[in-house]
Amino acid sequence: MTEILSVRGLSVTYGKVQAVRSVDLHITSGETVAILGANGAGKSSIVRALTGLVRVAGGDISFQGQDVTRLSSDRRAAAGMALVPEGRRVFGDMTVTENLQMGGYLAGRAVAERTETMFALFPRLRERRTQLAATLSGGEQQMLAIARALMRGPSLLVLDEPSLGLSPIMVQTIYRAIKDLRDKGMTILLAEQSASVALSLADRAYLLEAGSVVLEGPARALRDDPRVREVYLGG
Amino acid sequence: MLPQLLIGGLGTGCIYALVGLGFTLVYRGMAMVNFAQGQVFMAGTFLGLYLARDLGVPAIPLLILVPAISFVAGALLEKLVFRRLYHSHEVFVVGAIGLGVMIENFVRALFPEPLPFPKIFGSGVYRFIPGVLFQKTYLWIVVITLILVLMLHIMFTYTRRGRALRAVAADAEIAGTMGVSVPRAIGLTFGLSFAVASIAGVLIGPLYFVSPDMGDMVGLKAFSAAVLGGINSIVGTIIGGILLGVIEATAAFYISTDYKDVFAFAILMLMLVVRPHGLLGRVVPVKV
Repeated sequence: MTEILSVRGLSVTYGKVQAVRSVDLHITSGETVAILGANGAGKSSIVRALTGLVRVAGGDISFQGQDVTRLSSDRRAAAGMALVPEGRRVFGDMTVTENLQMGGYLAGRAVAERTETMFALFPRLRERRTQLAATLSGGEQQMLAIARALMRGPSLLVLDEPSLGLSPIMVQTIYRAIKDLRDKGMTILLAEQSASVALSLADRAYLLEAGSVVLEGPARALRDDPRVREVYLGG
Repeated sequence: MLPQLLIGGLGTGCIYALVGLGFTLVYRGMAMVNFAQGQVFMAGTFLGLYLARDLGVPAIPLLILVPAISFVAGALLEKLVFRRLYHSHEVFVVGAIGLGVMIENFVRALFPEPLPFPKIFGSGVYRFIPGVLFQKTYLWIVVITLILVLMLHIMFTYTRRGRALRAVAADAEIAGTMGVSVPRAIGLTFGLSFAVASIAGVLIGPLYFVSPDMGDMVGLKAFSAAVLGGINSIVGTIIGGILLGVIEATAAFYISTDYKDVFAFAILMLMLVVRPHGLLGRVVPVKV
């Protein structure tokens, strides 16, 4: 398996606050990797640093063999990274179809075909295709955010807290879709506070505390770890 | 008399609308107000004056050349000046006002006296309705405004680049993760705002003697028009501009030309109190 993402010594600071401290992580092609941790542990900061939304204070990010540490977010998107951001952040005054077209901004002529693929993946979006994204329910917005990220045909899908603020039923629906993507061979990086759902899906996981990786390994091993069980899986 | 007033108001209103569109485009993209818009409009007039009077460029090529040059100037100024001011709205506003003063003084150094603008659209009148005169220039103003609005609508709704500008306006960070170059999109937005205002400058030129301070009042009224219609709405700004032009012309005739300007700003203040998002400015409902 080829290594698709390699991060070494990643540090992120906001003013004097160090949000991420010298984190190493890697993902190989076809893997699903989870970054777990409590609120404020540094998960979103890692995601933002990987996708070019925040400047790194230290370390290197290599994506498909290319050093992307200093590249802007649009260049990283062109290189094959796609983000499903925390809080969905769909374009509220655009329709569902327009949001998908934006997701396929770099997809050239494949946009129409991929839009159909996304409607097949999330039939609910087809029903809502002319509706403004702001008027969708939270779950539908999450479906749209995932579909929008997939429009480009990315090499790496980065999801930041996909279950946040959703009803348990909608979390199941969203995670079923993510599992389908995993089963089709998509490489996925999943930052998630809800350890139980993330570990049920991931191949490997990293546990963050106060910006540092305190535990890493196969998801099964983390599920069985007494500390993870006690703090993150409710005993 | 009223139809004649409406025609005059419609023409002036279209000018407010076009200059107001410059405010709207930048506001949608950056959530900031570019108070140099009036001076950009004036610079467009003088660029048109130079090209038409000294180089003999006719109307239609002029309406292509002036916005093309202004577009490049806008994109360049965004890169050289405005980009350094985004960190604070207050700094941006003061910087934009300063830039406006510089543009005005630069033009004044080149053209110190008020000047007549060549009658590039002809000097005849149409009589579509008996007893009502429709100057050719007014017809050009209305037709060009309609064409521009249609072109902008098509661009923003149906083109990839236009959708990208809307996406940047809505959430620049996320638009970047879709592959949109945000700095380029913002440069394009400024270029467009300059181009639209400069077209207004060429359209209004033949109606008056032109002078370097002509953009001051038009800029403020165009801002009022944008606020009246909804500064984040293109259609709203067009309607706001036309409404303002018509109200102003009617008030000037029935009340007094001395108080003509008061109406524009009274409407602005009333709108800010009663309906701050303007007639068509939308607050998009968010369902979570």
